Amino acid sequence: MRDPYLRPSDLTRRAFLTTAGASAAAAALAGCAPASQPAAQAGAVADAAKTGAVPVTLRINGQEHRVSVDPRTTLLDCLRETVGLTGTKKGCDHGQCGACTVHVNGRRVNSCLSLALMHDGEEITTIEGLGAPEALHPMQAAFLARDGYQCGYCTSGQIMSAVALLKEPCGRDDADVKEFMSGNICRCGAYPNIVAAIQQVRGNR
Amino acid sequence: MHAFDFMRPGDAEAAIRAAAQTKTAQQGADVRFLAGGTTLLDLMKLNVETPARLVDINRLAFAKVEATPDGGLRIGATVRNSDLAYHPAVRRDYLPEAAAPPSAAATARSRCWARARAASPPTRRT
Repeated sequence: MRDPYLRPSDLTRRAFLTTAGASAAAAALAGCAPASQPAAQAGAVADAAKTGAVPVTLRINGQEHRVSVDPRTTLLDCLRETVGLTGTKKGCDHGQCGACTVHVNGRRVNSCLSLALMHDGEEITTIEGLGAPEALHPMQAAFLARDGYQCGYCTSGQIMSAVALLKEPCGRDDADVKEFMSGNICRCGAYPNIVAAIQQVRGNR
Repeated sequence: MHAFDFMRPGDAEAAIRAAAQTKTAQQGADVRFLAGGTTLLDLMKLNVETPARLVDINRLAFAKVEATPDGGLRIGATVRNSDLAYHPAVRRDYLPEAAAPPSAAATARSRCWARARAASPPTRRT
Protein backbone atom coordinates (compact mmCIF):
# COMPACT_ATOMS: atom_id res chain seq x y z
CA MET A 1 0.00 0.00 0.00
CA ARG A 2 1.36 3.38 -0.97
CA ASP A 3 2.61 5.44 1.98
CA PRO A 4 -0.16 8.07 2.49
CA TYR A 5 2.42 10.59 3.66
CA LEU A 6 4.49 10.41 0.51
CA ARG A 7 4.35 13.40 -1.76
CA PRO A 8 5.92 13.24 -5.25
CA SER A 9 8.89 15.26 -4.07
CA ASP A 10 9.18 13.19 -0.91
CA LEU A 11 11.99 10.88 -0.23
CA THR A 12 11.54 7.81 1.90
CA ARG A 13 14.18 7.09 4.52
CA ARG A 14 14.78 3.75 2.88
CA ALA A 15 15.57 5.34 -0.48
CA PHE A 16 17.89 7.87 1.11
CA LEU A 17 19.77 5.26 3.14
CA THR A 18 19.99 2.90 0.19
CA THR A 19 21.59 5.43 -2.12
CA ALA A 20 23.86 6.75 0.65
CA GLY A 21 24.96 3.19 1.36
CA ALA A 22 25.45 2.49 -2.35
CA SER A 23 27.71 5.49 -2.79
CA ALA A 24 29.79 4.46 0.22
CA ALA A 25 30.07 0.93 -1.16
CA ALA A 26 31.05 2.25 -4.59
CA ALA A 27 33.76 4.39 -3.05
CA ALA A 28 35.10 1.37 -1.15
CA LEU A 29 35.12 -0.78 -4.29
CA ALA A 30 36.99 1.92 -6.15
CA GLY A 31 39.78 1.51 -3.63
CA CYS A 32 39.23 4.80 -1.82
CA ALA A 33 38.69 4.67 1.96
CA PRO A 34 35.05 5.56 2.62
CA ALA A 35 36.24 8.09 5.17
CA SER A 36 38.40 10.01 2.68
CA GLN A 37 37.06 13.50 2.14
CA PRO A 38 37.25 13.83 -1.67
CA ALA A 39 35.47 10.53 -2.34
CA ALA A 40 32.80 11.28 0.23
CA GLN A 41 32.31 14.77 -1.16
CA ALA A 42 32.03 13.55 -4.75
CA GLY A 43 29.61 10.85 -3.69
CA ALA A 44 27.57 13.35 -1.74
CA VAL A 45 27.33 15.80 -4.63
CA ALA A 46 26.35 13.03 -7.03
CA ASP A 47 23.72 11.84 -4.58
CA ALA A 48 22.23 15.25 -3.96
CA ALA A 49 20.21 15.33 -7.15
CA LYS A 50 18.81 11.86 -6.49
CA THR A 51 18.27 11.94 -2.74
CA GLY A 52 17.42 15.58 -2.04
CA ALA A 53 20.38 15.90 0.33
CA VAL A 54 21.74 19.42 0.65
CA PRO A 55 25.23 20.65 1.58
CA VAL A 56 25.68 22.28 4.97
CA THR A 57 28.86 23.76 6.45
CA LEU A 58 29.11 23.79 10.22
CA ARG A 59 31.99 25.11 12.31
CA ILE A 60 31.98 22.63 15.17
CA ASN A 61 34.40 23.13 18.06
CA GLY A 62 36.55 25.31 15.84
CA GLN A 63 36.69 22.85 12.95
CA GLU A 64 34.86 23.20 9.66
CA HIS A 65 32.66 20.28 8.67
CA ARG A 66 31.04 20.06 5.24
CA VAL A 67 28.26 17.55 5.21
CA SER A 68 25.43 16.57 2.93
CA VAL A 69 22.20 15.87 4.73
CA ASP A 70 18.47 15.47 4.22
CA PRO A 71 17.01 18.93 4.98
CA ARG A 72 14.95 17.34 7.75
CA THR A 73 18.09 16.37 9.67
CA THR A 74 18.11 17.95 13.10
CA LEU A 75 21.29 19.56 14.38
CA LEU A 76 21.33 16.79 17.00
CA ASP A 77 21.25 13.96 14.46
CA CYS A 78 23.77 15.75 12.28
CA LEU A 79 26.20 16.05 15.19
CA ARG A 80 25.73 12.49 16.37
CA GLU A 81 25.14 10.50 13.19
CA THR A 82 26.71 12.50 10.37
CA VAL A 83 29.70 14.08 12.09
CA GLY A 84 30.08 11.35 14.72
CA LEU A 85 30.20 13.55 17.83
CA THR A 86 28.15 11.44 20.21
CA GLY A 87 28.80 13.40 23.40
CA THR A 88 25.52 15.27 22.85
CA LYS A 89 22.67 12.97 23.82
CA LYS A 90 19.17 12.37 22.52
CA GLY A 91 16.91 12.15 25.58
CA CYS A 92 13.44 12.97 24.36
CA ASP A 93 13.93 14.43 20.87
CA HIS A 94 11.16 16.93 21.62
CA GLY A 95 12.85 19.76 23.45
CA GLN A 96 11.76 18.79 26.94
CA CYS A 97 14.77 17.19 28.63
CA GLY A 98 17.75 19.33 27.60
CA ALA A 99 20.12 16.39 27.08
CA CYS A 100 20.72 17.69 23.54
CA THR A 101 21.89 21.16 24.63
CA VAL A 102 24.70 22.64 22.53
CA HIS A 103 25.91 26.19 21.93
CA VAL A 104 25.20 28.00 18.67
CA ASN A 105 27.12 31.24 18.40
CA GLY A 106 27.66 31.02 22.16
CA ARG A 107 24.01 30.61 23.12
CA ARG A 108 22.42 27.40 24.32
CA VAL A 109 20.05 25.62 21.96
CA ASN A 110 18.07 22.38 22.11
CA SER A 111 19.65 20.76 19.09
CA CYS A 112 16.78 18.28 18.70
CA LEU A 113 14.43 21.10 17.74
CA SER A 114 16.79 22.81 15.33
CA LEU A 115 17.67 21.85 11.78
CA ALA A 116 21.29 21.44 10.71
CA LEU A 117 20.39 23.60 7.68
CA MET A 118 19.45 26.50 9.93
CA HIS A 119 23.01 26.75 11.20
CA ASP A 120 24.89 26.72 7.90
CA GLY A 121 28.08 28.71 8.52
CA GLU A 122 27.48 29.12 12.24
CA GLU A 123 29.71 28.27 15.22
CA ILE A 124 28.63 25.20 17.12
CA THR A 125 30.15 24.12 20.42
CA THR A 126 29.49 20.64 21.77
CA ILE A 127 30.61 19.01 25.02
CA GLU A 128 33.61 17.63 23.14
CA GLY A 129 34.72 21.18 22.43
CA LEU A 130 34.43 22.43 25.98
CA GLY A 131 37.45 20.73 27.43
CA ALA A 132 39.52 17.57 27.38
CA PRO A 133 40.36 15.12 30.16
CA GLU A 134 43.77 16.71 30.50
CA ALA A 135 42.38 20.25 30.25
CA LEU A 136 38.94 20.33 31.80
CA HIS A 137 36.64 23.32 31.52
CA PRO A 138 36.12 24.73 35.04
CA MET A 139 32.48 23.65 34.89
CA GLN A 140 33.49 20.07 34.07
CA ALA A 141 35.95 20.13 36.97
CA ALA A 142 33.25 21.47 39.30
CA PHE A 143 30.82 18.73 38.25
CA LEU A 144 33.49 16.19 39.14
CA ALA A 145 34.36 17.85 42.43
CA ARG A 146 30.71 18.11 43.47
CA ASP A 147 29.63 14.71 42.11
CA GLY A 148 27.09 16.43 39.86
CA TYR A 149 26.00 13.28 37.97
CA GLN A 150 25.14 9.58 38.39
CA CYS A 151 24.43 7.76 35.13
CA GLY A 152 25.85 10.66 33.16
CA TYR A 153 23.25 10.75 30.40
CA CYS A 154 21.94 14.24 31.14
CA THR A 155 25.38 15.49 32.08
CA SER A 156 26.61 16.79 28.73
CA GLY A 157 23.46 18.88 28.40
CA GLN A 158 23.66 20.02 32.02
CA ILE A 159 27.23 21.19 31.60
CA MET A 160 26.52 22.93 28.28
CA SER A 161 23.54 24.71 29.81
CA ALA A 162 25.52 25.62 32.92
CA VAL A 163 28.37 27.13 30.89
CA ALA A 164 25.94 29.24 28.87
CA LEU A 165 24.22 30.31 32.08
CA LEU A 166 27.45 32.00 33.20
CA LYS A 167 26.82 34.68 30.57
CA GLU A 168 23.10 35.05 31.30
CA PRO A 169 21.43 37.41 33.81
CA CYS A 170 20.91 34.72 36.43
CA GLY A 171 20.40 35.87 40.01
CA ARG A 172 22.71 34.86 42.85
CA ASP A 173 20.52 32.40 44.72
CA ASP A 174 20.21 28.64 44.31
CA ALA A 175 16.56 29.25 43.38
CA ASP A 176 17.73 31.40 40.47
CA VAL A 177 20.11 28.72 39.27
CA LYS A 178 17.33 26.13 39.48
CA GLU A 179 15.08 28.38 37.39
CA PHE A 180 17.75 28.93 34.75
CA MET A 181 18.59 25.18 34.69
CA SER A 182 14.94 24.10 34.62
CA GLY A 183 15.27 23.03 30.99
CA ASN A 184 17.67 20.24 31.90
CA ILE A 185 16.15 17.30 33.73
CA CYS A 186 17.93 14.50 35.55
CA ARG A 187 16.21 11.19 36.23
CA CYS A 188 18.91 10.21 38.71
CA GLY A 189 18.18 13.30 40.76
CA ALA A 190 21.66 14.79 40.88
CA TYR A 191 20.13 18.27 41.09
CA PRO A 192 21.55 19.41 44.46
CA ASN A 193 25.08 18.60 43.35
CA ILE A 194 24.53 20.16 39.93
CA VAL A 195 23.41 23.41 41.56
CA ALA A 196 26.40 23.23 43.92
CA ALA A 197 28.81 22.78 41.01
CA ILE A 198 27.36 25.73 39.13
CA GLN A 199 27.38 27.97 42.19
CA GLN A 200 30.96 26.97 42.87
CA VAL A 201 32.05 28.14 39.42
CA ARG A 202 30.08 31.37 39.87
CA GLY A 203 31.82 32.00 43.15
CA ASN A 204 28.69 31.64 45.23
CA ARG A 205 29.74 28.48 47.04
CA MET B 1 8.60 14.58 9.18
CA HIS B 2 7.54 15.37 5.62
CA ALA B 3 10.11 16.66 3.19
CA PHE B 4 10.17 20.38 2.52
CA ASP B 5 11.95 23.00 0.49
CA PHE B 6 14.12 25.26 2.60
CA MET B 7 14.45 28.93 1.73
CA ARG B 8 16.46 31.66 3.36
CA PRO B 9 15.39 34.95 1.75
CA GLY B 10 17.71 37.90 2.07
CA ASP B 11 15.15 40.49 3.13
CA ALA B 12 11.69 40.89 4.58
CA GLU B 13 10.01 41.54 1.24
CA ALA B 14 11.32 38.31 -0.23
CA ALA B 15 10.22 36.44 2.90
CA ILE B 16 6.70 37.85 2.67
CA ARG B 17 6.51 37.00 -1.04
CA ALA B 18 7.60 33.45 -0.28
CA ALA B 19 4.96 33.04 2.42
CA ALA B 20 2.17 34.77 0.49
CA GLN B 21 1.70 31.63 -1.57
CA THR B 22 0.58 29.57 1.37
CA LYS B 23 -2.83 28.27 2.22
CA THR B 24 -4.18 29.59 5.53
CA ALA B 25 -3.53 27.79 8.78
CA GLN B 26 -7.08 26.44 8.82
CA GLN B 27 -6.63 25.08 5.30
CA GLY B 28 -3.39 23.40 6.32
CA ALA B 29 -0.65 25.96 5.78
CA ASP B 30 1.95 24.76 3.35
CA VAL B 31 4.47 27.55 3.81
CA ARG B 32 5.70 28.35 7.30
CA PHE B 33 8.13 30.89 8.65
CA LEU B 34 10.94 29.26 10.59
CA ALA B 35 12.37 31.20 13.52
CA GLY B 36 13.65 29.30 16.56
CA GLY B 37 11.64 26.30 15.46
CA THR B 38 10.95 24.93 18.92
CA THR B 39 7.22 24.75 18.24
CA LEU B 40 7.19 24.25 14.49
CA LEU B 41 9.82 21.50 14.33
CA ASP B 42 8.27 19.74 17.32
CA LEU B 43 4.95 19.60 15.48
CA MET B 44 6.62 18.67 12.18
CA LYS B 45 8.21 15.67 13.89
CA LEU B 46 4.72 14.51 14.78
CA ASN B 47 3.39 15.24 11.28
CA VAL B 48 0.93 17.71 12.78
CA GLU B 49 2.55 20.49 10.78
CA THR B 50 3.37 19.46 7.22
CA PRO B 51 4.64 22.52 5.37
CA ALA B 52 6.02 22.00 1.90
CA ARG B 53 8.29 25.01 2.30
CA LEU B 54 10.10 26.57 5.24
CA VAL B 55 11.12 30.22 5.07
CA ASP B 56 14.01 30.80 7.47
CA ILE B 57 13.78 34.32 8.91
CA ASN B 58 16.49 33.94 11.55
CA ARG B 59 19.06 36.00 9.68
CA LEU B 60 16.76 38.92 8.92
CA ALA B 61 17.19 41.93 11.22
CA PHE B 62 14.23 41.25 13.51
CA ALA B 63 16.06 40.62 16.77
CA LYS B 64 15.86 44.11 18.25
CA VAL B 65 13.84 45.64 21.06
CA GLU B 66 13.52 49.38 20.49
CA ALA B 67 11.73 52.24 22.22
CA THR B 68 9.14 54.05 20.10
CA PRO B 69 8.66 57.84 20.17
CA ASP B 70 5.32 57.54 21.99
CA GLY B 71 6.89 55.62 24.87
CA GLY B 72 6.13 52.11 23.65
CA LEU B 73 8.32 49.22 22.63
CA ARG B 74 8.89 47.74 19.21
CA ILE B 75 9.74 44.05 19.61
CA GLY B 76 11.23 42.33 16.57
CA ALA B 77 9.72 39.05 15.38
CA THR B 78 12.74 36.94 16.27
CA VAL B 79 13.49 38.43 19.70
CA ARG B 80 13.84 35.56 22.15
CA ASN B 81 11.51 35.38 25.13
CA SER B 82 14.46 35.26 27.53
CA ASP B 83 16.12 38.30 25.94
CA LEU B 84 12.85 40.19 26.19
CA ALA B 85 12.23 39.19 29.81
CA TYR B 86 15.62 40.52 30.90
CA HIS B 87 15.76 43.58 28.64
CA PRO B 88 16.45 46.65 30.79
CA ALA B 89 13.59 48.68 29.28
CA VAL B 90 11.15 45.83 29.84
CA ARG B 91 12.23 45.30 33.42
CA ARG B 92 12.07 49.01 34.11
CA ASP B 93 8.74 49.86 32.48
CA TYR B 94 6.72 46.67 32.13
CA LEU B 95 7.39 44.43 35.10
CA PRO B 96 6.38 45.16 38.70
CA GLU B 97 9.04 45.10 41.45
CA ALA B 98 11.65 44.86 38.71
CA ALA B 99 13.97 47.78 39.41
CA ALA B 100 16.42 45.41 41.10
CA PRO B 101 18.27 42.59 39.31
CA PRO B 102 15.85 39.77 38.49
CA SER B 103 15.27 37.07 41.04
CA ALA B 104 13.57 33.75 40.52
CA ALA B 105 10.87 34.70 43.02
CA ALA B 106 9.81 37.78 41.06
CA THR B 107 9.50 35.98 37.72
CA ALA B 108 7.76 33.04 39.34
CA ARG B 109 5.13 35.31 40.92
CA SER B 110 4.32 37.09 37.69
CA ARG B 111 3.70 33.97 35.66
CA CYS B 112 2.71 31.34 38.20
CA TRP B 113 -0.56 30.00 36.85
CA ALA B 114 -0.19 27.00 39.16
CA ARG B 115 -0.81 29.19 42.19
CA ALA B 116 -3.91 30.66 40.57
CA ARG B 117 -5.24 27.16 39.92
CA ALA B 118 -4.53 26.04 43.45
CA ALA B 119 -6.47 28.99 44.78
CA SER B 120 -9.66 28.00 42.96
CA PRO B 121 -11.68 24.89 43.81
CA PRO B 122 -10.88 21.75 41.83
CA THR B 123 -13.24 20.93 38.94
CA ARG B 124 -15.24 17.74 39.11
CA ARG B 125 -14.37 14.99 36.72
CA THR B 126 -17.45 13.39 35.18
